[in-house]
Amino acid sequence: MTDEKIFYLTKKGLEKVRREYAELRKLRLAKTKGDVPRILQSEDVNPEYLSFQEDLGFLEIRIAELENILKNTRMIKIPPKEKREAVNLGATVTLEEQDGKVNEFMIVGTLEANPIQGKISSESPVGKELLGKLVGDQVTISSPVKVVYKIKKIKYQLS
Amino acid sequence: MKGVLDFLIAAKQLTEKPRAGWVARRVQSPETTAEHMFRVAFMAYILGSKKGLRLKNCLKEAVLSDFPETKRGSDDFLRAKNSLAKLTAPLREDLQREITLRWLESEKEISKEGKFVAQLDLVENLIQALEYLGSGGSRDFLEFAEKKVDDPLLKNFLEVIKKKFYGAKSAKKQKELKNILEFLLQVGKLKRMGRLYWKLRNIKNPETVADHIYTLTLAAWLLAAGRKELSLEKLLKMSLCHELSAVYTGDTTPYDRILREGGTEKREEILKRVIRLSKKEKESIFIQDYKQEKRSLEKLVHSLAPHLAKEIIKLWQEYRTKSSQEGRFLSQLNVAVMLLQGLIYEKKYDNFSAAPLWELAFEISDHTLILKFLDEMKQKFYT
Repeated sequence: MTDEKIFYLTKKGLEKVRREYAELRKLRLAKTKGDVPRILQSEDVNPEYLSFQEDLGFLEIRIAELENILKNTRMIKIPPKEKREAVNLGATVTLEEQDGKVNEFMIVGTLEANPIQGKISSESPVGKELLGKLVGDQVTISSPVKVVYKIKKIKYQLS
Repeated sequence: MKGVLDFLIAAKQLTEKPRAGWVARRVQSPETTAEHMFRVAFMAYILGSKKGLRLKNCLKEAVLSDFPETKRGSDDFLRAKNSLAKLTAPLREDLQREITLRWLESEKEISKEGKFVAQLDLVENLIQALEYLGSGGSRDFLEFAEKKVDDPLLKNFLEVIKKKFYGAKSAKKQKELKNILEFLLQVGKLKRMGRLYWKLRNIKNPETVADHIYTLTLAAWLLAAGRKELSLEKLLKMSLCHELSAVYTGDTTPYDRILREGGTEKREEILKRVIRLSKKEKESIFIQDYKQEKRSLEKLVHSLAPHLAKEIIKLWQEYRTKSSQEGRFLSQLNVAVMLLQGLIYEKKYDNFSAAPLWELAFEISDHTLILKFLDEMKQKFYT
């Protein structure tokens, strides 16, 4: 029994991973098919060889990472109508604070998270707190500073 | 985790203390020890890569080269060694051993990488002396470096420095090394660039971008050591490169545009907490900043060897878009390290609050190690 991590991705996110994987494999093939630079150039290490090795090293690591992701992916889908009242993966949640300030996040898997772009991971403290909540629910984020939000809107629009 | 946090807090002193040598020479607002090691690390990356050395070791040795200065403030070897032993005491045994070994390698020049980094240390001192004192005031640094440096690549690099600053004639054409020198001079600007987040909140003499990069690199090493899913060499390089674009853009925060355009009320609100925005607004700010930073980075690295320029841009992209394990880990650690600095300031200054940084950390973090590190900081600073 292995406990490999499951990666949740939107359709767009999955397409992006697949595209990158295909491009990198093509690149690897092109690189290894051509002439491999010589290790030594007189007494010095040939910088072209180093560059080739570094590039190949980066490629191999990234390809392995993408293979692992593709093997363990679950696609985020819009939930059935009766479940759309609750916050789940793929939901865009509009939050309102007591002073009327509004904040908005989309809940995504760890691979697509980027809070600066408004996408937070379902495994982050804020994401965890939001999962399962309904419109009108109160959410308290208890870092050493307490932030209280009320859920104003939950929207599913993955494209 | 507690050991790592205690060690990093001790290491933060290196971002506060001006280097004694410059103080003695009456240099105004001289660099900190961390800032010196920051550029040594960059030199280790760029020149170590050209030489084909084991970069992971080179970078570790570079960030440790003057480490015992946190406690000793002298050049005495035994005192330095004891000081290092005291500093590393809170860490796991494997980390204690590795730090001591890497430090000894450069201090005693007992490996190719150690010897190279020890000589880089002298060359960085020379470059810094030239920046502070000009060619007239830095002759003794040049003489010392010329006496000690025997690495062929660095000897050529010294020729390039002499040609640029002392007008020396050189028969050799050293275009690549000349470009590397120009790059390192540009990177050196980060030593004098106070971080905007602290400046906006009226912190006096705040840590610089270089100080921050130094702490992040050290933290990345300590936290990721032994984690098979993370490439440590990639993380160390990525950490060094993650804010390089600031050389031309200046240090930025995601909310600069709003700060510039908003009124006083908006400004007060932004400074007190993480600003609330719609997803669309956040995306738009991200894209504008991303494009601007990329242009700046491309301008900075364009004269480096193409493979190196490509690698630096790729590392930065992975960090900025969180598109690799290392990119995701480092972007979370970046906020955690910023929070650590914020907590140190919160303890020091009555009117400073780390609250927005906690909010940011709770939005961005989902890596187990980072969440543990946040917990440890909560324990340390609030109980």
